[in-house]
Amino acid sequence: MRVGIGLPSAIPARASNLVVKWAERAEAAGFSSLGVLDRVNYDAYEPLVSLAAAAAITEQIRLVTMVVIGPLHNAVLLARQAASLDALSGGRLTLGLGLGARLDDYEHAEIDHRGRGGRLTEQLARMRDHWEDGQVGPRPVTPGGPDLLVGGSSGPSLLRLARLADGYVHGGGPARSFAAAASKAKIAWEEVGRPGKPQLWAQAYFGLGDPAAGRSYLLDYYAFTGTFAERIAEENLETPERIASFIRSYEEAGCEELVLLPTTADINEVDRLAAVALR
Amino acid sequence: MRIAVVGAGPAGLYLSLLVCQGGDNAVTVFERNPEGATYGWGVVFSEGTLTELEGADQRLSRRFDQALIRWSTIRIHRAGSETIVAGQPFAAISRRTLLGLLAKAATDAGVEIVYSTEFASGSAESYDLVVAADGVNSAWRQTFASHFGPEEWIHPTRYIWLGLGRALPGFTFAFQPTGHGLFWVHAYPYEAGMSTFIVETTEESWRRAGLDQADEKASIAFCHETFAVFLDGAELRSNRSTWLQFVTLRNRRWIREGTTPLVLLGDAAHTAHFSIGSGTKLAMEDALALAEALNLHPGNLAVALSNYEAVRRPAVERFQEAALASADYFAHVADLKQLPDATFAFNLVTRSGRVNHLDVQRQDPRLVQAANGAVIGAKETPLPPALAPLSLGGESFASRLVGGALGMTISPPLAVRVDGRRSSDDPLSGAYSDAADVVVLSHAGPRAGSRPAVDGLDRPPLHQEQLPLAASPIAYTRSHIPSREASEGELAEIAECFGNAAKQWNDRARMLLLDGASGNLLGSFISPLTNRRSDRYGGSLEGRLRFPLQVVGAARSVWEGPLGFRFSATDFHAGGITEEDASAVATALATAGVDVVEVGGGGAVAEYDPPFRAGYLVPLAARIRNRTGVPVLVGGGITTLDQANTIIGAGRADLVRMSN
Repeated sequence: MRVGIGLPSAIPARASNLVVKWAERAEAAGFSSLGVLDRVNYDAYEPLVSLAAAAAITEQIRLVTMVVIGPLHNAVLLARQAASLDALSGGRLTLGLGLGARLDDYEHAEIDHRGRGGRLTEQLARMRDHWEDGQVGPRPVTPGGPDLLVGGSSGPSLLRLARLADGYVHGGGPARSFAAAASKAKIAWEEVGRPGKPQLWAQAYFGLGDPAAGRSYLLDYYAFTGTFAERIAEENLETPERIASFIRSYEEAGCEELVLLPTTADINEVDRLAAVALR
Repeated sequence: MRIAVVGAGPAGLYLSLLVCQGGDNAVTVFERNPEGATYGWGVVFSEGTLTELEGADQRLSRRFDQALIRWSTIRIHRAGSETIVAGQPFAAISRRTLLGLLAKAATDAGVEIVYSTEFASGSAESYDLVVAADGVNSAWRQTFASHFGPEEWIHPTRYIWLGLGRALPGFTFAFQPTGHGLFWVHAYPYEAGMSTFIVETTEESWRRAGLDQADEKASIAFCHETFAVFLDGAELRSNRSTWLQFVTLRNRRWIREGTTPLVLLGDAAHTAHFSIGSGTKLAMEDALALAEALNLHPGNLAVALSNYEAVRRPAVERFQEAALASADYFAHVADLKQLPDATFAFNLVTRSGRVNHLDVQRQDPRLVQAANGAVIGAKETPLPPALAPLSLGGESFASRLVGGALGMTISPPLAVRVDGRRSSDDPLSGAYSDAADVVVLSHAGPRAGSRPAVDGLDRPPLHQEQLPLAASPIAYTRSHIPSREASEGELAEIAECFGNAAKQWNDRARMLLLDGASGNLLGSFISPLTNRRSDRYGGSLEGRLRFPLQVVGAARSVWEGPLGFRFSATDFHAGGITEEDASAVATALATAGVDVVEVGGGGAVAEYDPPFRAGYLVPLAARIRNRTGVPVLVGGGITTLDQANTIIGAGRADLVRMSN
């Protein structure tokens, strides 16, 4: 299993040059990918812009969105943006797309949230068409365009994954819930007759240097979920032992790439995590 | 902490006593009924639950122990025969005794129990936490229904909860055919000289027997008469018993935040069909988890409550899923009358999906031996069900598996002509040179001419050169242009192509499988979602089957070996094929010379709601097999030999398609 690290692009009070420095440090440390989140109604950088900044200063590391809220975007323009980033980074983009958990993100973006599931499905097909047919530029470097990841475990989400995406990205939680979701993703893939297998990605939060600050960030970021925020804060990986056993459990559950997302804007978190996760 | 518990049932009392033992808490239980006003007979616990209870409070557990009746067998009575299944340790206790023990232990621990008193909503403010343990009709949950988001599923069968004045030797199921239909009993002993005795039947049988008009006395008389042989003179007792429909309850949330948080416990939060155990078991496990969370996080109620829900919700959901499978088994158990006793018993103990062939092998090797033997009509066999030989359409197969490491090899769908390929990468039957035991012949119909499946399914190219053919002119996805309605002449040509392809495989394949599923050409005729024709190929099921049967006829006339047909027996979509129609399709195919049907699902339209999980098509396949007697092949996320052995050993299918 490969291990990636999140950029601190959605943590308020970061210095303006932190994302770029973080990206450089993460690549040097040997992480396989840099992940970003998407949240409109929060003090967070735009995910593709953040990855573009990271792309400029790195050479090898994969760039992954976990996830961009697809229906907030026009499919053609998002396909262009993603193709541009893929081209600018030398084919390093993996594009995770989702519906987002908060309806107010749709309100702020002035986009109707109704029918968003169907629109995301449509968007996957249309972006692939644009990338393959090249009617709207630029051409992505990755043949056929960057790999697409989606999440969700309902019937329609699994169908969307199996028919039109390249892989599954898990939203978080214990390895057992990941394993159950991954099994459904694989069954869906085979049942619809898609050749090959879905890629399996997952994410989790960590905070090694200042766990209290990490927790309060998570309680704030997830305040809209009510008591569930407590749960997410509780699951924050705060010790090397917990990170090590978490990584092991995900590896055993069949995860291919786990991206650990920071909860504080302290650049030393990169090295602290590397010391545990990349041994 | 000051805690108000609403409802002095097992969940409320047990939580109160654990919380009082565990920390500096003042707990008051409010019960609107008077003390001792309980209803119901016994309550079942698994050994696992009892061990958990013991871990929490050994003294209470010892008192339980003295009142528990334990058993380790399930007895299955069926038209005069009795099958005993070993290795099933469970225990039961009288509900009245349980409540008495819990109330006493709670009072001893310092809990205040106030009977005959409603908990007034205004008084919540003087507590730090309110626990709604007031049962399935929880007034507190209903007050905040829009927050908790309850969802109720009302089961179709009818049941009545009675007492039997005799202690049965263990858990007992009795299946009794009557002139009105099948009636069955779930019964178990719970104290000396007494058993719980639940009679259940389908709604149709219940109406035919006139029980919708029967009062309490007449209902008991009916049950007494129906199960007279089995009762052996013992008396059936009622406790204001009426015929009920079980309700499976789920809630989107179990916790309501606020100055005084409210949390749901036990039946107020969730129910699970009685056929795999009692709600009391779940309720007491809830109480254990909530007490533990509260005791572990004394200063942080929000964390404690969210931990309680995080621990219990997945466990409860798994149990509910198993309970739904079990309830569904009983709702259709009348279809299983043809199964031999050992198969029937093996089917019954594996009904919830939580126990497989290997588990039963450990619990009761003799039963498994008999069930394995029944697969090939012998007394016993060294071969497990999936590896037992099968004779089908004049051909002998060494196993009952298709695909996987041990099964027959199967080809990808081979197009019978060029316009029947899903994409230009797809193989044509005439040009396919790889060997395969089972060869699948197909025409992609409305899904033809897409881009290669590796890059996503059903994506038409920029310029679609040819309109895809289908039963009716419908676009498969929003990116497609509508298909072209196939003319009668074209249908005759395509049927001939199927015949020609079938002929090519004589001597080269062992079985042919015609592909009528997944929204391809044949499937587009079968599903009412996609067949809107007004000619003789549309309309009624007979019309919709006309073309598929024409293709079967063309293949059957030239192909000498076993012939299979795959079809979507459900569309997972409103307005799709009904289960009655699916059974009729199986029967019509068999009449036309098909030896085995593969039960598939979904795909008639691009957007549907499939419950993808291992074995998701098995219950439907089993009902079609046992209702029609047509041999059935089923797949869908089945990866282990153990799963296949369970499916075949239980008579749910004849062949299993293995996934990788």
